Amino acid sequence: MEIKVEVKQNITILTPIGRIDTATAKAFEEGISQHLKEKIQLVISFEEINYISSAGLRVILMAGKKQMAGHGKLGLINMPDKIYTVFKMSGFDKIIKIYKDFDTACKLLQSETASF
Amino acid sequence: MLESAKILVLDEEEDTADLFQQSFRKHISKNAYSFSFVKSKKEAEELLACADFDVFIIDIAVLAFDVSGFIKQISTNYPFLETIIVSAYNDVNILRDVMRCGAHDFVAKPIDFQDFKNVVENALRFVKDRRTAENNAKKLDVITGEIGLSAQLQKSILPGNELKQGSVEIWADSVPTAEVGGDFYDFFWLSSSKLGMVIADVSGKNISAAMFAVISKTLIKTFAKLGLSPSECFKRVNRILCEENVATMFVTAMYGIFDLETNKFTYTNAGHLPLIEIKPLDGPAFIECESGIALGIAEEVEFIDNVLDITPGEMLLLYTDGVSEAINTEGEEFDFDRLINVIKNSRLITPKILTQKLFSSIKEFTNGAAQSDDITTLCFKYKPRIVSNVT
Repeated sequence: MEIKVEVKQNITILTPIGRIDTATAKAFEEGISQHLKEKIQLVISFEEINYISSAGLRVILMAGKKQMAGHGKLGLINMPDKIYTVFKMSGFDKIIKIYKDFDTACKLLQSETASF
Repeated sequence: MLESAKILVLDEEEDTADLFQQSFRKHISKNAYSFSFVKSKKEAEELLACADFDVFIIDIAVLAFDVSGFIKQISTNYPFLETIIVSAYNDVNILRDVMRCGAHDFVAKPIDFQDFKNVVENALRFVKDRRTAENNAKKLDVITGEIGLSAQLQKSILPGNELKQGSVEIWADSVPTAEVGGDFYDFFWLSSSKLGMVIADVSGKNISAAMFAVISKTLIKTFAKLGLSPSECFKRVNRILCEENVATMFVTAMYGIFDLETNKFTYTNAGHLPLIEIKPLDGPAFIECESGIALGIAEEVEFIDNVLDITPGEMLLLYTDGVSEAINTEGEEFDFDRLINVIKNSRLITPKILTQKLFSSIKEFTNGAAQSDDITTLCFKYKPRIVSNVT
């Protein structure tokens, strides 16, 4: 699975491309894992994701937990409505920070904490 | 410490044992090789039958006329034994013959022990590789068998497809993608007038998902049977699932209780898809409700009890995202519109027929595309009362 990596204003932005389902979840996990470091501010942009299954949600959850343990930050941005619905229905929007876009994430990421 | 390699030597000559022990003394002292020496075919056969040898070194002079027959018999009876032929006559025809019968290698007499050491080492490597391959194949057999057993176990913990009792009727079904799946359903009586029903979807697939499913299902039923409300039940199940959930697995689930005395369906939702209420006159509708987070994620989560009034003739459909997210060969999703349409066209029927219609519609839609997720449904019907003629 292709994941674009960019660093802007001290925040690492990961942009995975395609579907995150059982078939691609492992590659997604490996791609994300290498960026989960202590005290790192990380955002994942969903602009190029058209589907996420529960296997993908599990990877996001794992990333969120690791970031919290390492005193880092995790935010999700640029989420299409369809993907947002999946996060909302499973209750993930209550535990993972979702921001409209990068600028909003920039302003709020530092001040907010996840709630596991 | 590694077990030493067992080598059997069949040779009539008196000094053979001394010669071998002298030449391989380093291997013997390090316990790498252990040698046994025999002088006749009969003795060799007896020893082979009672101990697992790795390499069999034979001077074909002992075998007289039956060289290839003996080699063939040995390779058939002892597939993990490599034979090395030692021969004083370099008759190419005989050597070619024994090689074809399954011998590993041959050396000429008098033996050049420097070269012979390599030949033995090579034969042992062969044996080792073959044993490893055999072990792996056995392990694979065990695993495959385990998966089959897990699938059976998983099936056996589901309560069957049907419940038909008095004015209630349930039909549930689950089609996993892999051998074992992460979806499950359950239904059980809590008292003579209270019927509990559950639908759930564990993140991921295969054995890990199946194990998490078995744990979740058992916990839900256990707490449900204590007579707790659906929300309280999920609160406790969630707390236990969150403890030491190192694999960060989770399960979206819905648990509801239908009370035949009050006609109320009280249910709670842990991040699962909205249920569909099918009224005889109005048709199907998604019932949006307050939802908690999927179970196993965050320890202190509140769940809410939602209440639906059920009128006789109504049906409820609980389902997993394998239904709405089934994709066809063009990558298109079955989606909620198609789901609703199938139901619209199948009103006033039984849970069993509705389920069958839904599954066949999904099959028709996906048109042979590989199933990407487990598909599970539970359909409940509160049957209209049959008014009997009072005479």
